[in-house]
Order: sequence, then C-alpha cells, then structure tokens
Amino acid sequence: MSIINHYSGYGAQSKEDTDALTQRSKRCICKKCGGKLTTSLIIYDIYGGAGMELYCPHCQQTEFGVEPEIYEIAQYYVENFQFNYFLDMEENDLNEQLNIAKVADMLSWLFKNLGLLDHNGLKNTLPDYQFYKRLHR
Amino acid sequence: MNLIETKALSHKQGSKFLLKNINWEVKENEHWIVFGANGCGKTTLLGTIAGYRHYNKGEVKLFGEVLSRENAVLLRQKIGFVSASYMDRCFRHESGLDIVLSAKFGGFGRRLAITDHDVKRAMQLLDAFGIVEKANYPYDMLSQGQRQRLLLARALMVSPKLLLLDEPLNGLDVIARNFFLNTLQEIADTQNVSIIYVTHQTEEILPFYTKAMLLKNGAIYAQGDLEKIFSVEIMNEFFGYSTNIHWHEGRVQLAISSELRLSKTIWA
Repeated sequence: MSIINHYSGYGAQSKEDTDALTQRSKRCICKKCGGKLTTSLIIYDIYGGAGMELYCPHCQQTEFGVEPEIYEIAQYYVENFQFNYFLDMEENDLNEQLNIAKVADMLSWLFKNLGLLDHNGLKNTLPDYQFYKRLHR
Repeated sequence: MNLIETKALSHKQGSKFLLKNINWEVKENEHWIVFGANGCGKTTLLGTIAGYRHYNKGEVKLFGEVLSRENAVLLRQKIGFVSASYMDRCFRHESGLDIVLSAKFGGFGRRLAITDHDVKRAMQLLDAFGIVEKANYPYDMLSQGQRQRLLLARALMVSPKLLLLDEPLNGLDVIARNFFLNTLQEIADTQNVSIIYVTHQTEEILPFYTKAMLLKNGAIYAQGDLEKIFSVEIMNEFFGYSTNIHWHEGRVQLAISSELRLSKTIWA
C-alpha cells in the first residue's frame, strides 16, 4: 500500500466532497495524536485507489479528525480525571491516545447535537475557553 | 439485469497478465464460487469488480453501469467487499467503528454526514457479530477472526446488492469458521443479495451456491453450473492430477488422489 499525501482530487469523488475534506484538513487535527491532517490518496498498487481521504501521517491511518478546541478539552479530561475506557489495555501512550479519541468523539457528538458544531467547525467561541486554556498550561 | 458483466477484462502488470480476457455475467440472485489455486488472480478479479483496482483492457459493468473512475465511489456503496488481504493493507490503526462506517461512503474514511442512525446500525452489526466491545479498538489490535467479522459487518453496513467475499475463512479457527458459514447461509436465505465467494477450499462451498468459475493463471478455465464444474473430468484436467469428488447433502468434497510430497532428494 502507498500513500500519496496532499492529494487534491480523484475523478470518482464529487468536488463538494474533496473541497470539504481539504477545508477540514486545514482546520481539524487528529483525534488520537493531535497532529496535523493531510489529504491523501490511499492506493493498493499503482493501478487502484479508493479516493481522497483525510489522513494522519503520524498515526499512519485514515482519520476524519476533530476540532482542535475539542481535542484540547478531551486531552485535559483524560489526563486530569483518570478517564480510562480501555481497561483491558496496558496503560501506555496508545491507551491515552485512544481515550482522548473516545472523549473527543463524545464531545463532538454533544457539540453537534447542541447546535454548536457543523461542517464548517465550531459556530461560536466557547464560553470560558480562554480560562480553560490558562488552566491547561 | 446483470449485476456483474465483464467483457474481455484484462489487466497486465509488467509483462504478466494478472487477469486475461475475463468474460463473465452474474445475474440477480445468483450465488457464485470463484475457485482456483493460490496466485491465479482471484483476489485481483474481486478487487477490480469491487472498484478498488483499475484494469488495462476490456470493460466492467456493475448494475448495468460501466465502472469508471467517475462512478467507482457511488457503485462501491452498493457492494459489500470482504477481503482481508486487501483491507489489511489499507486499514491499520483505524477503529472498528470508523471502518464499518466508512462503507457508507465507498471509501476508507468517514465523513461529517454520519448520522446517529448510521452509528446505531454500525453498533448493531458489530453486536450481531460479537465484537461490539472492540468497536473503539484499532484494527491492528484485533485478532484475525475479529477482523473478518468486522469486515463482514462493514460489508453489510450498506445493505448491499452484491457481496464479494475473498477467502473470508483464512486464518479462522473452527468455531469462527462455523459462525461465519452459518451467518453466510442466513444472509443467503434472508437477504436479497448475490454472493460471490472466492476460495480454494471446497469445504467452504455451501449448498446455496449454484454457479462456479474456475480461474487459472488469470484466465477463466471453466464456468457454469456448480455441479458440472465440480466434476472429476474437469477437476482432473484443471489440477493436472487425479482427483476424487464426493457430493454429500449438496456439498462437494474434493481430494487429490495422487501423493504430492517434497522430493526425497531434498533430505539427502
């Protein structure tokens, strides 16, 4: 398998889809490691491909990503409140990353259902967010 | 309407034909076995029909539409594709839930258009396959059996018209094999779906399959009714060895009569 990073389009995908993914790659980060995302073509061999996807080069995986603000809150929650959804796993970096991803997923669902998050990102600045950031530092 | 129609489908990589002049039609409600030895092109054929691999020559029609780069994503959304040999290369650390949800978009990733209904359905499928507790675990932390169950759940996420299964029992223990075969039987009995099953083991051929294709060196060796294809005459010629064919309750058993073993000179 190969990855072509910064892939900008694929005939089989609609322009809306590729545009949305490109915008998201600029705004969102990996929900596991918090790293930057890229648009990529994942191909089995030089003759095939599944289309453009969001990809985390650090985690080496297809990754839809999360808003950075939500990631920070999820990271704070996992690190400070001993959250552990993966009890049968060894406590290591991967365990922490998976827990952050789990909380980030739940928070994203909450924000979306509260009407605070849509395909363009967060609609409003989060209340007390600056205060939270100071705490986190 | 033909669900699959290939005309003179060929794919050459370097100087080698991976697929050669494949002419094949699969009609609605037909269940096919694609049978052949290792490396004969079975996986390449399925990957091509599933719209994940390109081809050099010929034509592939799915649901009456010519498969192209322009419609591959849309057509893939009507197909359930289970191929560990393919998916193991494409999925590594993605979570089980994300992998199942990715079927909705005909690709490998998820989108914002995922609804609560989609997530509920994905979780119900994972639950039905006994791996719901692994929904948030990365693909590479799952056992071979769990991966196969996950990929079958992914394939069923889109309520497919066509289910393409590429050696789905590889690496599974006897319990998992039994579970998988019974599940397939139930799918064939209850769902309006055509199953294309690639294998090189006759024990996996359930009675509901009615058609078979033999593939050799990337080309069709024979195709037609299952009972005619799995005859001693055709199998002797196909394998180049004397074979025994035994039918029992609609299931076929095949054994090579000749004794095949490593040359004794290797131990000298």
